[in-house]
Amino acid sequence: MSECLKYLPMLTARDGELSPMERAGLEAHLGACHACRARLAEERLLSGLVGEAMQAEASRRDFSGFSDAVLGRIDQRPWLVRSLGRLWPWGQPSPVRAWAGIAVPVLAAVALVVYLGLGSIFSERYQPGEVEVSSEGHDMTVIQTDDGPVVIWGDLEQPEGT
Amino acid sequence: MEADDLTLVSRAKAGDRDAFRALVVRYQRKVYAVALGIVRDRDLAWDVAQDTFVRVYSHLSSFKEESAFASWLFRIATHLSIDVVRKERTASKDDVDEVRESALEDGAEGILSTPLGNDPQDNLLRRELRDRISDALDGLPEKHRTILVLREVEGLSYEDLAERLAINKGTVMSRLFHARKKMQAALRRYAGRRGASNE
Amino acid sequence: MICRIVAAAALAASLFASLPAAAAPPVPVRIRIIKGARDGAASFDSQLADLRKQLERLSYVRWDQTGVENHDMSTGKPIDVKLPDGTPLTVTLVEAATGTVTFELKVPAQKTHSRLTISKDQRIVHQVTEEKGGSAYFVTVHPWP
Repeated sequence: MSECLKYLPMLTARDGELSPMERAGLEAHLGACHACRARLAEERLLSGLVGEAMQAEASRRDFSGFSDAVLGRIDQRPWLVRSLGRLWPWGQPSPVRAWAGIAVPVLAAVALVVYLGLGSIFSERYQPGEVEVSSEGHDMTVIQTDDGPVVIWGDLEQPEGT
Repeated sequence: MEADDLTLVSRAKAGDRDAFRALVVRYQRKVYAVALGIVRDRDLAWDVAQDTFVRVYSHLSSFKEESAFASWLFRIATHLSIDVVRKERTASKDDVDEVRESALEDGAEGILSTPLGNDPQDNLLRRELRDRISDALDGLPEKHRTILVLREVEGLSYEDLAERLAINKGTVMSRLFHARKKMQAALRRYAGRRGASNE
Repeated sequence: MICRIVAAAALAASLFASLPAAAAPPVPVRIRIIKGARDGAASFDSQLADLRKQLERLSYVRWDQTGVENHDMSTGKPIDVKLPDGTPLTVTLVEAATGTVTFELKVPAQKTHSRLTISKDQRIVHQVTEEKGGSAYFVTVHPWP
């Protein structure tokens, strides 16, 4: 019985989804277990039915207005969000207005920043590689690699717990 | 020749509205099918499908083109669908993932042993069962519906399912097993009644 | 049209000046729980291929992925993660700037608090349990996986 419990969830695995050991075990069990062979036949009968049913439903539905509705909802986003979007060349027929749409807010922002002396807010607060670690009762080691930092307790030579 | 996803995404990011529309048209039916499988209401699924594309558009600038656009799209569709369902449901005590002894005793007779299952016209059987899938899906808890839909509509592998649902492979397999078992039980009840009425 | 552009410009300038973080979209982040072990046959879970260069700096011979979560993280909102032994930890997106991302990781049970800034194409690997029986758990944080 417990053998069946182990292999039942594997009955519907596709090629490559089971390890060689799992696959061999399943094949051996199916060779010996009539009940699981019957269950496998049942699974094969029903395999793919959900996909077929949902895709059949989707095929029956009229999607002729769907993309218009999506783009309409994008356009109905709050005026501010939409206007900031329209300052980019999206949908702008005139290159002059398009560039004006970009240049004017940028210049205004720069003017405001200079006036208010807010330049520091545009520099990143944190720099890559910046690390602050603390742990009560553990010495921490940070190893910087090209792919990112590795933080361990203890050190490489004498990790904690050994 | 149709442009591939990444070409359309690049163009959409640069402001090409038609490129974004092309992406919507390419995936609208499958996104709707996934949403419908999970939320089980056609109007809600329609809204979720639209929400998915609106959200994709809003976050297009953060999409990294090394990833697969379709995976990202369906991940958003899955999460939005689950959110809709979870707003209304309460967790069922029957939502266990492990496979127990009772799994072997429940429904020892399958569909193939019902009168309908013995009908030599296999195609007819399959078509009839497919038509009953909606009812069967309605009876499944959200967790089971979701994994079944992602497996069979989106076609995700065990590994992809584990990543999408943040569960390990063992849980993927046992959850799928439970989902199919419940589906089979519902279809078996139909096959038994249907076959009997044909006699 | 011009009036709208000017009005939008003024509003954009004030927003740029005062609310840079609020306009930031959520950041997709993959959080993985991995286990390193000194004992047993050497093996490397293929799902961790992208971490090889970082993990091979450590002396564990066996690496397995035991859990994975994907989140859309917003600045300042912590995500709770549970390790296989039930130990809770939190991961918070502190800042997502032009070329860098800063995360904060806390393991209350160990009174561990780390803040790390990485480039957008990097990942964090962080030990989160003491080593017991030659094994320890780590968490990896990967923005825009």
